Amino acid sequence: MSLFSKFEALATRRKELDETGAQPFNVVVERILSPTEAIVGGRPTILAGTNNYLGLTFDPECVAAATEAVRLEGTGTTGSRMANGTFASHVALERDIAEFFSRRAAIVFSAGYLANLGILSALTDRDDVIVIDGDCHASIYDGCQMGGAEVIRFRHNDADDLAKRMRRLGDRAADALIVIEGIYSMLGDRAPMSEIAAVKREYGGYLLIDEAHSLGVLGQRGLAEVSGEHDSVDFITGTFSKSLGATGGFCVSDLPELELIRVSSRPYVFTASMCPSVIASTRAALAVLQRRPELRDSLWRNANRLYTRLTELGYTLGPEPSPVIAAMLTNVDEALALWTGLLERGVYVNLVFPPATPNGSYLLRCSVSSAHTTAQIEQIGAAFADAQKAVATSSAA
Amino acid sequence: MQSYEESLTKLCTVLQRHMTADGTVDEDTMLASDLGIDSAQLMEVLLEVEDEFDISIPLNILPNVYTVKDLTDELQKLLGSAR
Repeated sequence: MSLFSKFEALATRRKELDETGAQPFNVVVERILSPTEAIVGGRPTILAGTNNYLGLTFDPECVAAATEAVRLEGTGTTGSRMANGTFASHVALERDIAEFFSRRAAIVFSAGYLANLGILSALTDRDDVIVIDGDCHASIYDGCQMGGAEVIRFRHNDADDLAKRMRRLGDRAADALIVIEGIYSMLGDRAPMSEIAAVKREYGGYLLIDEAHSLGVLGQRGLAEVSGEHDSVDFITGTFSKSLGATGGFCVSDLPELELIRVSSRPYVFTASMCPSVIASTRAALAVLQRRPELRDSLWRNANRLYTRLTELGYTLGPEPSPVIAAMLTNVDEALALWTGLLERGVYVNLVFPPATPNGSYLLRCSVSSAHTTAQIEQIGAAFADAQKAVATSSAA
Repeated sequence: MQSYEESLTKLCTVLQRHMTADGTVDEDTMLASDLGIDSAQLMEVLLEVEDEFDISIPLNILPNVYTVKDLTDELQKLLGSAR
């Protein structure tokens, strides 16, 4: 066994993929033109897989704030807040986020991934039990593993299955941590929030919700808010990299222990902190999100339009319309051919392979933006129709 | 608490339903590879095993579970601690 023998199976799969000519994991955006357009492979391309839900990456206020911060505070912090100190802007962002969620306190992290890793690994240890939805993001699984707690999965979006598992825990349920997401990143479906909150009320425990894909998408603050269950949630995590168009992550809570988690969290303590320009654009984007609800309206118009179009074309999609729209395929060759066909027709979507997908399916995952024009949404739909026809013709030949 | 043999029989019955490869499930059957299913499918099968035994199997124990015997041993431990 060599150091690299573990990669042999991966290398084989990679070689097979290369031989098809498709390069789904090596797409280079040669020039980014706007929140929804870029030059890819020398061709103008509509971006339909960026999670840029509110289209704020080129928002003039956000760009101006980031530019000014670079000029005044420099390009980076060059270290962690524990070692190098906290910039006033870190504190300001934490205050903004805590106020936005009406919570006592917030911690910001350098990435959304690190927020889940940092909170879950510090909050729990081998004496604790975490009950997670089976479709939770890798950052949640990794955070659970890093903390060493006992990890139990419940069936995706099945509150009855969660209840069964809480019952099986007996007295331990009272201190268990339940983890769910507002909108699940692969299929775009939302958690049955009220039912899950009811289970928590019956058995006890704590509830953490990751609103990474639902912040600014479901109401202003995500699923907990629109479900009327804001007070049932003990911890909210999320990212600045999607609806807020930057990078970084956060956790908010009313629990005073959050400050102790901060100093216990290795992914917080040992990472360079968010840089000033990112903090500034995030704060500006948070203000835009609150001031311009029309962005959310156009996001949902676009999402509903594309979901309807792909349904008409016969694609098997996630269970409900959402800005994340994934066409589920069972055949890898068909998935590759469709993905390549879409790119050739000037549409970029995500191609996702198992085991990162639910049910072992291959996903053509779209994420819609409020910045997409109606014409762009129609172009995306037309490209799906055209690529589908081409693949069917080629399979029949 | 049920005996090891009782748990083994019950487990083999569940796993046999999902075996896509030829053969009969026994103590030495390698989970996943001998069953002819991938890791994601195995996780689905485990949900059914959990319901059959009315327990939750922590993900943490899975890295050390390779065979039906390994899983039966773990089930016995979990059944013991649940009583």
